[in-house]
This record gives sequence, structure tokens and C-alpha cells, in this order.
Amino acid sequence: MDVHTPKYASIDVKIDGLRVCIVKDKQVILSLPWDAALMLSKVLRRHAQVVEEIASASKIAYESAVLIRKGMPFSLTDHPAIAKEAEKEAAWNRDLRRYIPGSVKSQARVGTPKVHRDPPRRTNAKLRGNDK
Amino acid sequence: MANSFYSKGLENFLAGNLDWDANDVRLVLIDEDDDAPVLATDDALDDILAGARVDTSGSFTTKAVTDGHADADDVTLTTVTGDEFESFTIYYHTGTESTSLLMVNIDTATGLPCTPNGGDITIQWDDGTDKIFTL
Repeated sequence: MDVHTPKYASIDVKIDGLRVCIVKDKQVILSLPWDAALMLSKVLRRHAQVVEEIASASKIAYESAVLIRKGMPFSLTDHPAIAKEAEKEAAWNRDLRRYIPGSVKSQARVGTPKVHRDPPRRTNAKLRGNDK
Repeated sequence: MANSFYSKGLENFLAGNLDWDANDVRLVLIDEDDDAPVLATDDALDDILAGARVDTSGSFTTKAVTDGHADADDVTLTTVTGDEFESFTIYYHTGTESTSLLMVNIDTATGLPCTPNGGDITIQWDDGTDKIFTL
């Protein structure tokens, strides 16, 4: 029994009995048992998601930067390079700084000193006067 | 108020017109009854009326800028007389009032306000993380 699934480009995926086949130009290029096909599909999906994250890195970084700028305690990515780019965008992106201001505050501050006032110095004349 | 930068002081630090460890830095005691500092607009010593300046220190010594903290030796003004002062301002002394740039005004400190009695007055800087000020 052949069951045809929708085409993806020029590749067909068909069911042939208990096997799943990948057909290109009417030639079977891969024939797998159903359980192996399931495992392969999971690996393909996981790898595709990793690649999708890299392909959309700038968009993810920008949207993560919006969250950082708004003080949200989570990010849209675990990818260290994209997370670093998001932090950079949050700090320096001109539009984000203009429209979501105040997230990065100045560290400038002034200390609190002490003022000591000593008693007046006693002059020799005063000393002599006090001695009398 | 509170201990604060002059806005023009921050501007002059950013513009490179102020250099903490290279400039001749001094402080002036201010009788705010005669002239209250305007932190938003005052930029140089000539913005503080001469009559409001109770006394002026000598040059700060052993200045440091480590990790953005401005620090120096404690400052002693000798045999100070005159009116009560409520604050003091740290500035870059050039010898010309109009170019002596204001940095920081300090009106919150143990011992302020203070009425001189002819004795010495010592300013003991903050030994915490902020030091004299931090940028």
C-alpha cells in the first residue's frame, strides 16, 4: 500500500507497508522501519529548531532585549551568543533606550564626609592673659 | 537637598574639561544664606557670590581615581573665621573664577552646618565605597 503525504519541494514521503520511504524523483532514497522513522523525525525536528534559532538570531536577540529592558526575569533563548547580543541591544539600541528609558541607571554618586571643627588656637598673648 | 554633582560638572567630566587627578582641585565653604548653589546651571566659581565664600582650601593631595572612585587626602582649612556655612563645593582651581569649574556640592555631612570659630576645620572624606564621589 502506498500512502502519499504532501510534497516538500521535490521530495515525497510515502508509507510502504510497515516502512516509511523518502522518495526523490521517483527513486526511493531512504526506507526505514516505522520506529526508526519516528526516531529520525525527532532528531530532525530538534536539529531544525537549533538551526531555526540561529537563523532568527537577530529577531530573538531584539525581542529578548525588549524583555531585559522591561525588567522581565526570563529570556527567549538559552544560546549564550544570542543572550549576549540581547544584553548588548538592551544597553545600546537607540530605539529601546529612547522608548523604554530608565532601565540602566547612572552609577554616579557623592560620598558623605564629616566636618570637624577644632577649637580656636590659643595665641601667646591669650596664653599670657590667661596666666594672669 | 543632598550631596550632588553640578550638572555642568558632569558635562565637563564627559567633555574632558575636568580631570580629577591632573587638575588643581580645591573646595570652597559656602554660606548659603548669601548665595545658594544652583546645581542645574552653575558652572564656574564666578557663579558663587564672593560674599558667600567663607573660605577656600589649598590644593587636594594624593588624589586617586581607582575604579571610578575620586579620592584624596582629608582637607584641613586653617584658622577659619566668618559666617556659618551650610555646604561646600569642590572645584577645579585655575586661578580665574570664570574658568574654575564646579564639580560637586556637599550639603549633607556630619558637622554641617558649621560656624567657624577661628580654629581649623577638617573635611574627612567618606571611607566607604563612594569616597569623595564616584562616576
